[in-house]
Amino acid sequence: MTKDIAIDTASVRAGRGPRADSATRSEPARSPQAERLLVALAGLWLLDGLLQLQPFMFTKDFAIKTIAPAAQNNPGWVAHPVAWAAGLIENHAIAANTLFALIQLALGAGIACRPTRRAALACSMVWAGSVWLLGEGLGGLFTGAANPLTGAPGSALLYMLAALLLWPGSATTAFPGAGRLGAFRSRIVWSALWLGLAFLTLLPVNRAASAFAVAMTGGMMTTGEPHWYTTLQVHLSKLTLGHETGIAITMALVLALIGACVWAPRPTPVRAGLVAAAVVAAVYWVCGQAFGMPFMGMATDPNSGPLLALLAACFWPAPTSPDAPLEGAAA
Amino acid sequence: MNAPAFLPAIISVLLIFVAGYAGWRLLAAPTLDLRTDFETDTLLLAAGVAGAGLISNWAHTLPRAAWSVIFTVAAGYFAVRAVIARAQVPRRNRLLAHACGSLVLVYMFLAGVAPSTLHGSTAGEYTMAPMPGMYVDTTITYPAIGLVCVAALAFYTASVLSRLSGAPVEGTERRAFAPRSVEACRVVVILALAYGILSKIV
Repeated sequence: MTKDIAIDTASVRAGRGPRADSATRSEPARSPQAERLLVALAGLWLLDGLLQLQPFMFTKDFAIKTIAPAAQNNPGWVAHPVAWAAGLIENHAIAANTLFALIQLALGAGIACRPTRRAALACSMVWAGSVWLLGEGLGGLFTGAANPLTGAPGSALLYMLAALLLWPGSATTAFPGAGRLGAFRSRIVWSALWLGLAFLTLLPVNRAASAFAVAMTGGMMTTGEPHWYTTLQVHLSKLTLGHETGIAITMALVLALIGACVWAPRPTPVRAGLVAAAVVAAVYWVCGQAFGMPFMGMATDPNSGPLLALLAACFWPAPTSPDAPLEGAAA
Repeated sequence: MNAPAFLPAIISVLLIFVAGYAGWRLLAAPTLDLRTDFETDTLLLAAGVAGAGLISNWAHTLPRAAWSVIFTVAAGYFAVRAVIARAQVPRRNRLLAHACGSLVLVYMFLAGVAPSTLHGSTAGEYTMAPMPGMYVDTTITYPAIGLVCVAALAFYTASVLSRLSGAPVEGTERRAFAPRSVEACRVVVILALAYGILSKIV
C-alpha cells in the first residue's frame, strides 16, 4: 500500500503552518499571480543555467563566437569592456563557464525559494546588468542596428526589469508588477520599454530593403534547426520582401499602443493591450529569434520573447469587478 | 563537443547517490515505522540508476530497450493512478509529474541521449563549432522535443523549489520520513535529466 506524504500545497497558498509562518516573516504576502510570475522568472534563470552547461560553453569558442561579437560597432566605452571580458573568458573557459552556470542556477533556485528571494532578486539584477554590458554590449543599443525582432534591447535588461517589477512589496496592488515600485512608476517602466521598441523598429537599418528577411533567416539563424521550422521562417521572411517600410511603421504603431495601454482607466483595454504584447512577443520569438537559437547548442538564454511575455503578465489587472477603474491610471 | 570530464562524473555520482538514498528509504521506512511514498522512492531509484547510465559510460547498466520498457510501463502506471486519484488534487498532480518524468526518460532513451562519443574533452579548446567535420558529437533525434522537455523540467524545478521552501508537511499518524530530502532528490534528478538532453544538442 502506498503511504502518501505529499507536500500540502493548499496550506502553503493559505499561508498556514509553521514553515509558512517563518517564510512569510521574511517575505511579505504576495498575490498568487505575483507568486506564479516569480516562479516563472526563477524557471527562466534555471533554464539559462542549464543552457550554460552545454558543451560549447566550455570551449574557447564561447568567448570568440558569443561574447566578442557583442563589441562590434559599439562605441569604445562599450566595446572595450566586452573585449576584456571575452579575453578573460577565452583564457579561463572552463572555470569561467562553470562559475556562470552555477551563478545562474543559484539565482533560479534563490528566486524560487521564498526565504532567499529578495537576496536572489537583488543579485539577479547585478548579474543581469553585468551580462547586459559585458556579454550583450548593452543589447546593441549604441550600434545603430538594434532590432527588437532579433532581441534588442537584450534579454539581460529584461531580466533586470522583471526582477525590479516583481520585487516583493504590497500584496494589494492593481497588478502583480506594482509590488514595490507602485502602479505609476511601473507603468512608466512599461511605456518606456515599448516606446523604445517602437523607436528601434523605425531605425533606418530595420526598415531597409530585405531587413526583415535578413533578420529572420540571415547569418546562422537557421543552422541546426528542424527542416519544418526553417521552411516556416523562410516562407514568412519572403512575405516581408518589398513591404519593409509599411511593416516597420505598422509594428511601431502597435508597439506604441501597447506601451500606452497600461494607462487606460478600465481593465478591458489594458488586457487587450497586454494580449497584443504577448502576441508580439511570440511573433518576435518564433519569427526573429528562432526560440533563442537553441538547436546549435550555443544558446545562452531563450532571448527576449519569453521575457516580454512575462513582463506583460506583470501588468495583468488584479481580479476586481470586470470593468472597474484601475488604481493610479488615467481618469 | 563534450563537457569537461568532471561535469558528467559529478552528475552521475549525484544520481547514483539519489538512487542509493531512495533504495535505503525503501528498506528503512518500514523498519523505522516512518511514513514514506514508496512510488516516489521507487521512481527515484530507477531514474537515478538509468539517468547515470545516460550521462557516463561507467554507470551503464541495463540495455536502452529494457529501460525504455520499464519507464513506458511506469508512465502508464502513474497516469492510471493519477486518473484514479483525480479527486485528490495534490496527489493527482504528483502522480502526473511522475508520469511526465517517466515519459521524459523514455524520450531520452529513444532519442539517443548517451555519453559523449568523443575521445577526450573539448572543454577549454578551440572547436570551430559551426564548421563541418570538427568535433561533431552524435546528436539526439527530435531535438525540438528535447528542448521542450528541458524547458518544462526547468520550470517544474522552480515550482518544486517554491513549494518546498514554504510548505508544511501534512500527516498526524506517524512522522514522515524526511519528505523534503525526497523533493531535493527530485530536483537533482530533474536538473540532471535536463543536462543530459542539452549535452547532446551540439
